Order: sequence, then structure tokens, then C-alpha cells
Amino acid sequence: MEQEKNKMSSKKIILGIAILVVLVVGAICAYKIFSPKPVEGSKSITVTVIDDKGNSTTYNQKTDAGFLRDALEEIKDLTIEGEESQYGLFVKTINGVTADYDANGAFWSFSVNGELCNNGIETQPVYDGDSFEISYEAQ
Amino acid sequence: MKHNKLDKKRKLTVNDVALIGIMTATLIASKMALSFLPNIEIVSLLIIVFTLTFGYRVFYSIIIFTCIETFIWGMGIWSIMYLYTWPILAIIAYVFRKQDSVWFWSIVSGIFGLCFGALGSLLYLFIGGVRTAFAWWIAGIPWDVIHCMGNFVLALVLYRPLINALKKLKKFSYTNSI
Repeated sequence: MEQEKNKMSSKKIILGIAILVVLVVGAICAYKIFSPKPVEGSKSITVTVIDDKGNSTTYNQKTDAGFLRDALEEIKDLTIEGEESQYGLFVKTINGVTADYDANGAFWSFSVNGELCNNGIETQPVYDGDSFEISYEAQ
Repeated sequence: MKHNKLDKKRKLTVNDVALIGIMTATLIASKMALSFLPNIEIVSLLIIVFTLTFGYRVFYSIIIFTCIETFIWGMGIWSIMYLYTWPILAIIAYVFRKQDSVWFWSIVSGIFGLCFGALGSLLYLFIGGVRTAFAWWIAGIPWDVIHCMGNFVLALVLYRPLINALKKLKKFSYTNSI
């Protein structure tokens, strides 16, 4: 009997699933509304790369790209390599300098306008006047 | 009755220590086994069933689990997130410990998966302020939805066999206690 009492009735199950579905739909709507949108059209951006020795190289680029990866790939003197993953490109090597996380905890840190990027380079939107910094960080 | 009395005791016995070790090892192994699937994990369900079966002992496992994960993957912001997100789930499970519906726990596990990013973003309130926390949460919503669906389905399929097996284990462990 006690176990019976602890089981959910069909109505409660349906209500619970309905709440779950509403929450999922709400979260997806929030994502659609508030996630950053790329801006089409010509934009000017600055990309600064700071390598493992602290040397800084700045690139000024005009781009129509909506997202950072495309914009970076348009820069002639900049090379990016990495591993394709389910999260997009995981950048490992920039201009021939490899950040090996397994060896010394090193990674390439991406920031935009002074704040760490919240998105991968595939989904990081590019706006006119953005200033990106990519720096080699080691632990 | 004997089990209930044991639950109320807060002093760890040898059996408890062994049990905490087994629970932690199970959490680590299951996390690693599913790490190739993004945001699909069985840790949520295990924490629920461990809490329902072994009560407060799960908190020791969560702390050790977080420490070992930190040793494996390196210290990160997520280490601190783990220290409060998993205990929140354990507290929810403990509050509703009388509930034994597979649907109830599947829904709870699903909602927890959906809220995982939001819970994690709370830490960013202190690091970067409201805007950073909000942006971090929004960016992770697609992964939270996957987390939610994975948690829901895994709990629906595995809750009953796991809870039955753990009840047997508990009966065996604490009726043959030292």
C-alpha cells in the first residue's frame, strides 16, 4: 500500500511531462531570442595573436563573415589548425605554434572586446568594430 | 528497521567507507564511459539512486568524485560548479526520498539536466556579473536540452533496475556488517 501511495497517478505523470516540455520549449525560445546573431555586411575587425613567447601580432581585417571561424580563415597571414569536434573546430595551432593541453595545460584563449568568448569560434558572432584577442595560455 | 537506524547515524563505519569508495568509483567510471557522448551522462541518475538508497553518504562520494575529476581534467571553473550542482541534486533526491515513481525521477532528472547550465552560470554572476552569466547560460542551452533528454531517457530505462540492485546491495552490506 505504501508503495502504491508513492507511485504517481497518470494525471500527475502527464502534468510532470507537460512541465518538462514547457521548460524545454521555454529554454529553446530563450536561446532563439537572446543568442547572438551575426550581422551581414562589411565589417572591420581587429585580431591580435599573442604567441607562447609573448610576441603580439595584430591583423586588421574587413570581412562579411558572420562568425569568427570564417573571419579568421579570411586573414591571409594567419593560419589556424585544430581538431574538428562536435563543438566545432578546437583550435590547437596558430601560425605554427601548437598549444598542447596534454603536455603542459596550454591552450589558446579567445576573447572579444576584453571579455572571454562564451562561444566556440564556429558560433562566435562577428560585429563591426570587434577586437579579438587570441592568446597562448599555459598552466 | 535496522537500515533506518543506520541512516540516522552520522558516524561512518567501515562499511560506509567501502560503500563511498564503490559509489565514487562507479560515478567516475560511468562518467568516463559516456564521455564520448556530449552531455549524455548517467551521473545524475546515479546520484539520485545513491541518495535514495544510501542517504547522506552520497555527499562524501560527490566531493571525492569532484576531486578525482579535477585531478584527471585539471582545475577549472567547472570544479567549483560540480561542488554545488551535484549536491543540489542529492538534496532534491533526499527531500523526495519517499517517492518511488520511475516517471517522477525521470522528470526530475530531465529538469536537472535542463537547469545544469543555469546552475553553472550562477558562478559567473560572481566572476563576470549578470551579463556574462546570462550570455554563458544562453550559449549553452542547446547542450542543456540534450542533457535534459539524455537524463530523462536514461532514468526512464535504468532507474528501476538500478534502484532494485542497490536495495539488494544495501540489504546485503548492512545485514552482514562488521
